[in-house]
Amino acid sequence: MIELDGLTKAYGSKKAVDNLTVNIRPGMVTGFLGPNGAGKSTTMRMVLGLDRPTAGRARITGRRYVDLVDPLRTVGAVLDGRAGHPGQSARSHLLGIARSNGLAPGRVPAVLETVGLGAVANKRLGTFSLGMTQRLGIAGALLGDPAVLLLDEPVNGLDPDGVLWIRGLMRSLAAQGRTVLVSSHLLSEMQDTADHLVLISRGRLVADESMATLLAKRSARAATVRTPQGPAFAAVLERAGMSVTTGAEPALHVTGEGLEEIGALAFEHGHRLDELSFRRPSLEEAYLDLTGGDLEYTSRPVGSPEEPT
Amino acid sequence: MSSTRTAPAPGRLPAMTSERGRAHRWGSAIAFEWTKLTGVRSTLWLVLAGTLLTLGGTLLIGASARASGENGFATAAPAPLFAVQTISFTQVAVLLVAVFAFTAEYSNGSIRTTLLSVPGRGRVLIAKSVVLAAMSVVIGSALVLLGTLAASAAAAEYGTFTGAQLGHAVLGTAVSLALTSVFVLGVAAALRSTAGTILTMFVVLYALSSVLPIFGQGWLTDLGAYLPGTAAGVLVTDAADPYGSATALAVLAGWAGAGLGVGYLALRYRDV
Repeated sequence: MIELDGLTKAYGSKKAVDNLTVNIRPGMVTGFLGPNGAGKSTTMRMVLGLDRPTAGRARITGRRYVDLVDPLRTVGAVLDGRAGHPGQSARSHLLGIARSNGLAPGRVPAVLETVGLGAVANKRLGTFSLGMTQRLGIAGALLGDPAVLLLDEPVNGLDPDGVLWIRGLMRSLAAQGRTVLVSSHLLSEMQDTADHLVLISRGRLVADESMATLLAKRSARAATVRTPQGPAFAAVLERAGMSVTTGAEPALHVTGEGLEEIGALAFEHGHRLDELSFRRPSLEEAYLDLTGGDLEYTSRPVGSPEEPT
Repeated sequence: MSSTRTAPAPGRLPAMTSERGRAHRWGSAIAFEWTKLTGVRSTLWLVLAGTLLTLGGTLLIGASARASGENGFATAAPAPLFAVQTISFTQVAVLLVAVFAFTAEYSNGSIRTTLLSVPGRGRVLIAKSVVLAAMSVVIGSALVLLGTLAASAAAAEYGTFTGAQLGHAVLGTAVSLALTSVFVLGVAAALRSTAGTILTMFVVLYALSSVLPIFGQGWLTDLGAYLPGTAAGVLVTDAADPYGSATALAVLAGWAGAGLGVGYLALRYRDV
């Protein structure tokens, strides 16, 4: 369990994180979403005691990070970038971390095997690719067998194989009852991984709800209906208050309220349906809906240079 | 690199807190710093460089003393003195280990791993200090013994010395190098940058003592007596000027303490 209570970080007058109150619960993967610059990394650094909050507090299992005894036995964290000295070998790097928290040295080869780095244990970190560095960070986070995991953009730099692997890893860690908080600016990534979403924009909480609720509540839904008696059934649907357009092929595209009644209406009026499919809203749509396209760094299309003065 | 798709075997959830005691945690923090210090090659290279420079320097000074002595100049001195004179400069190689102990962590990002593993800022600082001080004691003593051996071989009868003189040089160097390392470590923790820390180190240890008298102010010149270099000089040679060993020890310990204090405040109150 991670508890944020009015967590705020201000740099001068600019608030990177603004009065964030949210609980991250165990037993599920919680996606921490927001555009670049929304305050995700700052929030994670405050949870981990690396940055000092301007106001509010962050607690893990009821304590501030700095008050945890042997913190790696409770919390594992993967932050972006290198975690160790480029001149140190992977094994030595992990051995030092294990010693710092009184963990059994046997955990080092174990986690190296888990992340697939067993063969390069004696290689120096400076020779590691971005993907290998990311895996090493995960190895370090798993060393203490922690109940809480924080991962900051963990799929960065991983090949498709690695992305698949880390997705499975996060799901199985959550299934074991651990608290898993994973940040990302890649919405589609979260759609496949997270059970619950915490959305922030400009440091403020935008949404804190389950993936299913978020997708169900937001964004207009649409349905596609294929039936031999198109025009007749279209009339039925329109009487029920839905708007129907007929596509080039004999299919009805239906939008509006009460789409879940379509099947029942067809049954009542004796229409045969060859296809009834609902278009699920994508996370991207729900997200843009929530943030109102409120991105920190907005882009301009290429090819419209400013006039020279 | 092979990839593994399997997650760690499910097991019971680990205990939320550790039952390990206080002493254990200090020991763990020290073991962590020791692993990092000895796990990188740059430490070995710097110690090796310091050793070779000391060896070369003492051979040169010893040979020069002998040549001058044979030509009638009164340059004879105890060989341990030749050694400590050389080490007062070649110690920079060892001090650089203290510089990098913090600045390298800030430049390569591993400071975050350090503070995630040992969140107590004071504990990190003390653990690093203990490891570096211990290393300085061992290396400093070894350098004096080695340097004395080389100087006395090169100077022959112009470098004769007593066991007490050697003993004092070893003890003085061990203590002064350890305290100077701790001072430099504290500065490194506060400044974070390698260039800035090395510059500060050179100014405080070497440049200020020559610069202060230039202003012609009596009190500024007097202040020069309380610079770490002056105090270290008293400690390694058993001189009585400008003050005795006890005062020198206090002065040097004061610099080390001040360095640690500044380093602690920076670690405690600045974001990583």
